[in-house]
Amino acid sequence: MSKEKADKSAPVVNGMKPEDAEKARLKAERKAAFEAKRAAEQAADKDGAGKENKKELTKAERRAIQEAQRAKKAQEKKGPADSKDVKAEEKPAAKSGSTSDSPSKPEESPLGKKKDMPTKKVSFADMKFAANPFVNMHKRRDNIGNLFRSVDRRKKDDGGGEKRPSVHPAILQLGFQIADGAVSGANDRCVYMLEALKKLAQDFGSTESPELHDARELSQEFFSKMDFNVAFLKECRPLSVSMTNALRHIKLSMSEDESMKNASQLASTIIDNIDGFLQNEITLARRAIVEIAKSKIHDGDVVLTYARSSVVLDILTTCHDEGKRFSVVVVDSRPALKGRETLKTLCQKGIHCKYVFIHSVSYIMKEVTKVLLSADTLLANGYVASRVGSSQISMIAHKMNVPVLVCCETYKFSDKVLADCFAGNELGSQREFLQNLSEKRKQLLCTTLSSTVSLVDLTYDITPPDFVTMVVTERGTLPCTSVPVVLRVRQNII
Amino acid sequence: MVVDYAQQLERKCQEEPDLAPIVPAIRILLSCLRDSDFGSIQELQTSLNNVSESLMTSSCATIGVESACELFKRYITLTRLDVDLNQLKPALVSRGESFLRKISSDRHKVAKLAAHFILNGHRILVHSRSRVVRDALLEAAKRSNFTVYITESAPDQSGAQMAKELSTVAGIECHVLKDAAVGYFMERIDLVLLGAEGIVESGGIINRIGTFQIAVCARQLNKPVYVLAESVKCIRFFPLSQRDLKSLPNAEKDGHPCVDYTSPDFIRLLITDLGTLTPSAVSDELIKLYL
Repeated sequence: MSKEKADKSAPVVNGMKPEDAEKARLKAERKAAFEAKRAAEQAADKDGAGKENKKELTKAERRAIQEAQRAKKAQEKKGPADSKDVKAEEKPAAKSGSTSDSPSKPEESPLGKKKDMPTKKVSFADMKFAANPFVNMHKRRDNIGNLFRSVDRRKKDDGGGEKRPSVHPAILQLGFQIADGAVSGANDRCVYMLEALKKLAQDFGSTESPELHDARELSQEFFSKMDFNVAFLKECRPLSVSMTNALRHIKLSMSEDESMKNASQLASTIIDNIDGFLQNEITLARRAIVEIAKSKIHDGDVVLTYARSSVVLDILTTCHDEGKRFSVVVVDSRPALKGRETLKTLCQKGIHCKYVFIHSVSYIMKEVTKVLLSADTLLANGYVASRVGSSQISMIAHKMNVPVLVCCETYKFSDKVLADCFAGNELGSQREFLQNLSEKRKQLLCTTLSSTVSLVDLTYDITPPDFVTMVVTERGTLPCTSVPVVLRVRQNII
Repeated sequence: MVVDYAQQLERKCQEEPDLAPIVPAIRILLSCLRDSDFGSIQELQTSLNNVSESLMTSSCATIGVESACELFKRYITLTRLDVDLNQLKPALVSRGESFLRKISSDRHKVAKLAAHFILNGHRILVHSRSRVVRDALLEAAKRSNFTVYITESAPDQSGAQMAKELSTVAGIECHVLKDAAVGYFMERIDLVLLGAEGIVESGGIINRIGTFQIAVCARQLNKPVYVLAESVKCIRFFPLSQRDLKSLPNAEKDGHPCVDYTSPDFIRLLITDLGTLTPSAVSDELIKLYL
């Protein structure tokens, strides 16, 4: 039944590309199925519902029917040939999943939105731009299908005779790894991106004609190529601050140097620059942070850490190797359960661990002496952006007078200012939300999920500086409020 | 060798009780710089490190001495070092001398700045004895009349000494309180002036034991807490708890702690020779000094 409806309800307007039409058709199909399911469910529930509910359910039902009728009419009017096209207004909604830097629409405060929810009973997905802070958010994993299509489109465009840039295989591979979540974490994504860019530079050096070029022209050519490749990465998942900072560093260091004569020289300079960045800002910085942070852990400490962070793991294992006796509380949260990896590594080392879920943090905090977290980025107003959940851990720790240490390399410092966690955040997909659940529970959850419920799985949150005692960077320990000074000093050095 | 410098420092502190141990410590470092015959900068740095380490073993060394030695070593080498060694030594010595001149005048600068905060009729709570707070009060006494409440500060009763100095020199009205009576008097206090042995990276201070409870009490009753200290006392140290202070020189005596850490949440302003700073600005200054 739903299939039939879907075919009829394909939205229609002239003058669009077939790819977009395909996208739109799929979307319409989903929507129709969704509506039908909802109507059916609500009809079934109707008998048991109370007085108030009854009214709303019928309203929703009516809406579904209206929608279907409207689609049917439109279909008849335009004919089958036009059904491949896309409504212009629909485009931003369909695209919003994959583009990161689309201008943010005015957002209502989350508080106001919550207030509306119980009375209106609409899902987040149904809300208009103005009311829904999640519309513009990147949705992880949902866009893999779109990515394949966009790669195909690029390939087709290449056949046009004139020379057009194409996505480098290394970048292509990394893009899909990032989109799939195989490569995650601010540090890893940056390192892998730089490695891929090195390959890109290498190939640029060997394929371009070796004849003399104007240095500026040459580097411009390379950077336009790089930008094109980075744009693909951005499509896979919005770039992290670490990545944008690394890219900016590479560009800045190149613009000073204009002595290169040919492409291979340019390539080797770029590779040297990237290697220097990897060595100084990432590898050595990491080592310095471990060195500083380990002096803060003493015998008898109980260290709490959250999910998985490679730098925290490094610190804890180094401390253990040096013979310090301490125990660790690993806090974990659904759906990613990254803490299990931490737990595995620490237990293999023989460190005494406790494993709790995030809802028992307030209980376990009584016995904790230090909280050790890592950050995705530090914002200019001193806020710490990190994996969702870090904020509440810091808050509880602050309330219980437990010092919170945040480890972050200075290359991840951002000059941006955020005041809430909606801007620049990402959403997890339903598939991700249901991962790590037994089949039985998964099914239970799927069937009980009514259409008015949508899963909101935010990726990052921000912690105000009040809750963070100290930030450990490779340049020493600072309070959160010193981020702008460090940025200023960094700029002076560059 | 080790005993030598430490004893020298103690002797100098006794000779000039009006000076903070920082100034004689720098004098000793400077004389070592003059006397030493170094073949390389590396050699000089090692020898200066040895001297400052032995100074820290002295019984009158404070955390301020440590920070001053660090800053001295940094300051003298903040010059062009690519000249040959014969010319280098006088350059280093002259920089060392200018550093000494600077820190000798710092206390006066702070006192002048802080005096503006003290108005006619103020009732001021002061903890223990602090040279810079004393100077600020004496400076302010030239223009206004105010009352000072001084904690007795067990075990060495240095508060009584402070009261004596203030009342004999400038005739300021002083009351010496028992340490435990701080809460009782806090409601009638207008502002709290504190000295500091060291200013740490968080913007908090390390000071004589009892400071923390005064700051907590003042915060609860919404009384402003001003810290008076020379910038040379800024140190790259970030305590997370009171227990972290055990590593500092002379932090404990007979099993009792001698200093405590007051976190920046309890401090309204720090008045230093660099100007009047908020606690968060301290780490900015430290970054500028060390990065």
